[in-house]
Amino acid sequence: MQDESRLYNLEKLYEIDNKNKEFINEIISVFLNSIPINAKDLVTAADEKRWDKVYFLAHKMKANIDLLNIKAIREEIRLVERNAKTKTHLEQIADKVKFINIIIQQCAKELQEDFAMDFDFDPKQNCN
Amino acid sequence: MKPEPISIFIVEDDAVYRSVLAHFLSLNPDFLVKKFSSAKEFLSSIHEKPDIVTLDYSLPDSTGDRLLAQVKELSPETKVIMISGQENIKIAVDLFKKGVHDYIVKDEDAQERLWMTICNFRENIALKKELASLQQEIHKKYNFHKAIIGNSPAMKKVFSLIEKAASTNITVSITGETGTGKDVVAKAIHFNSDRKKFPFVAVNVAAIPKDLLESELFGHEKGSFTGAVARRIGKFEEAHKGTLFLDEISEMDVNLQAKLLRVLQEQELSRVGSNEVIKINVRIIVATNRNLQELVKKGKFREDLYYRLLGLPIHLPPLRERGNDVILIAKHFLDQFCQENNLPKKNLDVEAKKKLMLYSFPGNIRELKSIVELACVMSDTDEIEAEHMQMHAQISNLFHANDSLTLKQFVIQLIQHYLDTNDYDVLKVAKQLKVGKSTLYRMINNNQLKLYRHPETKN
Repeated sequence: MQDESRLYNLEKLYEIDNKNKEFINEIISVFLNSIPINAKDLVTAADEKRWDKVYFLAHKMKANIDLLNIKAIREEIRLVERNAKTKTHLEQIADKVKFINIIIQQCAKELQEDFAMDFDFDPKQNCN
Repeated sequence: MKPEPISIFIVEDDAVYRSVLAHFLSLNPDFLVKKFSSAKEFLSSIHEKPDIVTLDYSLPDSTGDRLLAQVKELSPETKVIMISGQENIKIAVDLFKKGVHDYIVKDEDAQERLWMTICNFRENIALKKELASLQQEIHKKYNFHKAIIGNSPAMKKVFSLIEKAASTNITVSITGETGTGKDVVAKAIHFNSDRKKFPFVAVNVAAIPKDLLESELFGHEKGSFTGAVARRIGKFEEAHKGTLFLDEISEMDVNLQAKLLRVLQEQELSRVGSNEVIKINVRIIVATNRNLQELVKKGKFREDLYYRLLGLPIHLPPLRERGNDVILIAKHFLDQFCQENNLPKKNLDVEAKKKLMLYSFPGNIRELKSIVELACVMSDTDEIEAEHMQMHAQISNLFHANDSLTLKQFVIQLIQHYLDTNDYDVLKVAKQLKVGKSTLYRMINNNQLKLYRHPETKN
């Protein structure tokens, strides 16, 4: 399962409960149903310069990104969170959130492929 | 014993994290986990009073400290664990001041820490639940109409006195023969009074060597006498705001009586070897099976202390004066014993009841209990018959009423006892006791001994 070509890594979930397939499926399903949408909202909020919302979304996504160990945007999400909170270097945010969104959508696609399940989820809807 | 399940509410708007936490915690089958995605949803279920709630600090519709205040108000027993994405010492300190039980940062080992925290709480919660249920049980147990059984007029009078005693703080003196249940009455008074949430401390004055009694009651400072290696608080201090029950008060040393009197009058004491004066707030209940008034006359009990302790006197009638209560109490012990020993329910037959009613019970309820329990063991069916009941210790019957017999009175009672138990066969008794038969006949002629069947020994 620990495929280096993948953006994500489920080791942490397996650490919590490695015997329970249902649990892993449930978490992936919840992730797919919320985080790609959050990532899109993050871009929109940054476009609209609603920094409090940017902070709130980044703050929430951070724990999820850590949980699935999406290394590519580990630092980026923290930078966005910090800058939006302290309202400093706001000009850096726009690029970062776009990058974060791309990675998240890609990650969602990979998860969708790896867990070919009947999720209530349409990947096209969330991809740009 | 299986541990009580613990209810845990998880309030977290992040769906993934919520699911991870919920799943992680429900790995323990004793954790009953419920998930909430918003403060509003959570507050609508707070009446369920969860044992533990984990709050996300930043929720879309509320903040951690606002929600904390609401939990404290609506369900003060609930333990609150704050989970935050941000490590912020200032917020954490602030939350702890407001009464949060733990603050966990969402990072790599947040789940582990949460698990540890909940496991630590668990013991605490289990103890609290146990305490609450025990308190309830005690209250039920000493609901005095259940604790003390009796319908006889003599006991009804006792009940009304107990009720009066429980509603005030008056000192109570309980008298009655051994085994009449003086301690049960003392407990019933305590657990039905306003002091029931505070300790009930019982001291048997006769059971403690008189040299130790002073420090037992009033405590001592380290080094106040050989062997006093540490400070020790006394029974008076232990019973603070509660009730101190001094059983067999008549056995107290006269010197100590003076000190006790002073403590009772001043409502303060100092530990042995200390000058510090400690205020006390204790209700006193004393009990004795001896006649204090008589002891006062003989100079063995201080008169001033006697009046100080008299308070509300409650006299417990001996079992033989309680009429039908004997049967009620016997049935109670019978049911209790059968239940405790997983025996089928047993009944007393008519002859057995008669035998109980005729017996004098020098050992009162304590004796009745042992007779019933033995009978229960002896009977092989669900009926208890007269023959299963062995009325033991007839001889102690001789002593119970008066403890000051002359030698001559004692000899007469002893011979009478032998006559009673040997079908009034004078020759046989004379042989057994190794006295001349003429001696016995002379005593019978003088009306010192009686040749009739004593009702207590009828079979």
